Amino acid sequence: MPIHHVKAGDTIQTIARAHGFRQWRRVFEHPKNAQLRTTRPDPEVLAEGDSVFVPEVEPRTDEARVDAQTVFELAPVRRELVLALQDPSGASLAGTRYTLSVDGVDHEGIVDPSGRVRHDIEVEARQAQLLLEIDEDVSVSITLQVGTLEPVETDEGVRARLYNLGFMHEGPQGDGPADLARAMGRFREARGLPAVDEPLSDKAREDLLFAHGA
Amino acid sequence: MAEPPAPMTMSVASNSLNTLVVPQVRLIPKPTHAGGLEQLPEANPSIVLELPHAPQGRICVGIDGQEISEDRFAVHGSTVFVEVPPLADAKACGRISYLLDGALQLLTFELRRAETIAALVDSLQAQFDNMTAFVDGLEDVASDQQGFFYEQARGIQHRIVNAMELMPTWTPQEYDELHARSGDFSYTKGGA
Repeated sequence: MPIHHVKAGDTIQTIARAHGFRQWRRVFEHPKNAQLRTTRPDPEVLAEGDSVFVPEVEPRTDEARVDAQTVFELAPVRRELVLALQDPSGASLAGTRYTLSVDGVDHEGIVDPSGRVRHDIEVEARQAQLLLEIDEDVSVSITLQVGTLEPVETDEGVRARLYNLGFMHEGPQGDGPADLARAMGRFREARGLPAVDEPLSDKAREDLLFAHGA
Repeated sequence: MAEPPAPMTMSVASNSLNTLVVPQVRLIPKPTHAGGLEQLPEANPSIVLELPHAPQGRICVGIDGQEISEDRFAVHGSTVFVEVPPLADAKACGRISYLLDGALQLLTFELRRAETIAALVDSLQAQFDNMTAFVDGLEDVASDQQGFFYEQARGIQHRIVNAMELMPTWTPQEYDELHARSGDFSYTKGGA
């Protein structure tokens, strides 16, 4: 039975698909992944180096009558990209025209009244390009690395969320722990959250996860 | 709308909500030395742009929506030197973008092919003057970057000389003067 060591961009869904599973739950909910489910409750947010037990694919047996048509229906496999878009003041970008490009296909639309963009994407999709037309002369293009968001329990996961929320002024990597602490301070102050003694405490990470949404 | 990619890459999770804050966009005033319009020769043009501040982090340069690869431009302090690919049309739009203090900085500029040799010489002379002044302050630049800048300066110098030779109304005195000025720059200085 193979153990899959998670690499950047891997999710339970991509791992399951790569090993021949159509339903990711067959992998994630396997008893040997009980510990993984405890530490990584979101199957779409794994950390590099995590170990995922991948069971053997078991052939399924079904009955079929002779001289009759038997229909087999595959359950749909769905992977969705959901973005809530805001400007730095926290106002939603509802009504903004956008183009989301995934695997060479452009999806054009308008950010919905709740400020969200939702699109189904292929399980194998690793990258998307979001072009937002802010006004006639200005557009902003963002490269989205799908599946690379690390768990909030890791410092990389904290950095990525702070960057997505506009608080990591030094860039997504920052220059070190001091940058991370400063960015976390900016986040808490802007959101009206009480100061915490330890900027990377469990409570601080939980608040960040709540604000980001994943 | 011609756009270079903004210098932003975000990590997101699928099947979950991702809240993304799109940075405020600040439009940088056009460069003053050329009034925002650069006249370029047809082949291997290059431009020097002065930004109001030194960019932080990754900088993106685009011409007519095509990203310029990082080995085709260089940044030193607030000065950006860009090798422009041959223009498909007589005019082109350029953009430079980078993040500064969480806001996306955008500089737009226009490029136009020089329509006359006189305009071309003027443009090249302006570029050369900029470059000559610029290379004088290159003491603290890494040697590999020095090579880039000196190579570009030498290319501009060659184009000035070539353009001068095509200039029918150029007086010998003007020719000598410009030639002498272009000769102020040593080909062998630094890593060139």
